[in-house]
Amino acid sequence: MTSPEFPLRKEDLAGIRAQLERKCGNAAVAEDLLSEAIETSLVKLREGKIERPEQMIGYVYRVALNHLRNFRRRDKAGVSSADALETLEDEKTTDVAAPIDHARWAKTAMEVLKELPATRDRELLVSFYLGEEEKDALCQRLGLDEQHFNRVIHRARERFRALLEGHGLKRNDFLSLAALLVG
Amino acid sequence: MDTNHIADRQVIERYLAGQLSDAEADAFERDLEAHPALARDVEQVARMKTGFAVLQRRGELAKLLAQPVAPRQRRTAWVATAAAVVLAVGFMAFRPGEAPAPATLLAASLNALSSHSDSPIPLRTSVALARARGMGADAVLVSTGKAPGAAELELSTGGAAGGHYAVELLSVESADARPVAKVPDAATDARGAVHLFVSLNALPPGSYLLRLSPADSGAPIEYLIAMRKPN
Repeated sequence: MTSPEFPLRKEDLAGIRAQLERKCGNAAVAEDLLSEAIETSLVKLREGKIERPEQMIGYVYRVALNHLRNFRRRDKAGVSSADALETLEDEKTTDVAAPIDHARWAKTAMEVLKELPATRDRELLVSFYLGEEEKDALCQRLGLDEQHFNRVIHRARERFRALLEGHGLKRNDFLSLAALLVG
Repeated sequence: MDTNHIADRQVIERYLAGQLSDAEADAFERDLEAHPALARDVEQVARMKTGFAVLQRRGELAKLLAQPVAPRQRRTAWVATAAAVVLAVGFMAFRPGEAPAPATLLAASLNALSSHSDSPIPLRTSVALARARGMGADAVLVSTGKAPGAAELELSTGGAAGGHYAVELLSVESADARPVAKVPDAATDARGAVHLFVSLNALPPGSYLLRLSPADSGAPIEYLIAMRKPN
């Protein structure tokens, strides 16, 4: 499926696909959900329900994230076990580039951690991003004020972005892609 | 929700962690559709989370978390750097006939910034930074091109008067943060702020990290500075 008018590349959705995979525990299902999000968005676009073409990427994310949210709801309702599903097994992924991407993101995350001189700040990052601890609880546990918390998170994101851009992913990639290459 | 609110309250991270209420999550999803640029930030956070997950799966996180920082070594490094700078300056000062010294990019005073200039560098702007913002640069400076100019930065440290900091200016344009200028010792004023002077003509446009490392080996304070091209 291609369309020359509107920009979106499937590889730009690699991060959200990894999150879907973590939640549903199945790479093929994650891939299907992502494809469905793109299909739904294309239909909306063709029906004129997306006002501006550049909004399409936002719409794709909206639909994909909604799938993620639904998985969380099912987890909370006891339909599935999050503990059992929270895995990330590159070997089972359907995307051949995923192991390389994941390794690159891990290397970048490692560099961000290594650049933080304070152990407490490293713990903050891991507990917030991986452990998904709530901000207030984390601040209390680590004895941090909100300003410090915000600063560490902001810096980490900026560094992660800068390091990734240094490896080829540019800020504008999401906004100025030239061709739609789906599937 | 505006973008500052989204960044300051870590809305993306909390969304992906399932910590938002249904109403907040709905609002964020609407914002995502209206502001496609947010998708980039969502993608980045998702990649970061995946990166940490991979490190955990490989069993590398515990070591990274436990990795101690050797503050004394850092201080020694600063002293060594300062000594090297002094030696380098002395060496250059006593070598006649060499090319002119490069312009000073960062200094603790306007006089020091003008030290390699034929005439005093005029102060073009003053910026006071009380805290890091949630998104983007903490301060945006505009280059004066070839015209000499300086910006004064008043950087809050949250510390007491008379505190001492080693200051480093790093270019964060590439994958590795590259030091471009240093001030070995900058003292805080009565309000606990450090004053620094940046060259608006010698510092090339780009993104910079200004790192203030306290002499007592506490956690460094960082500000992001963006230098824009001349208007």
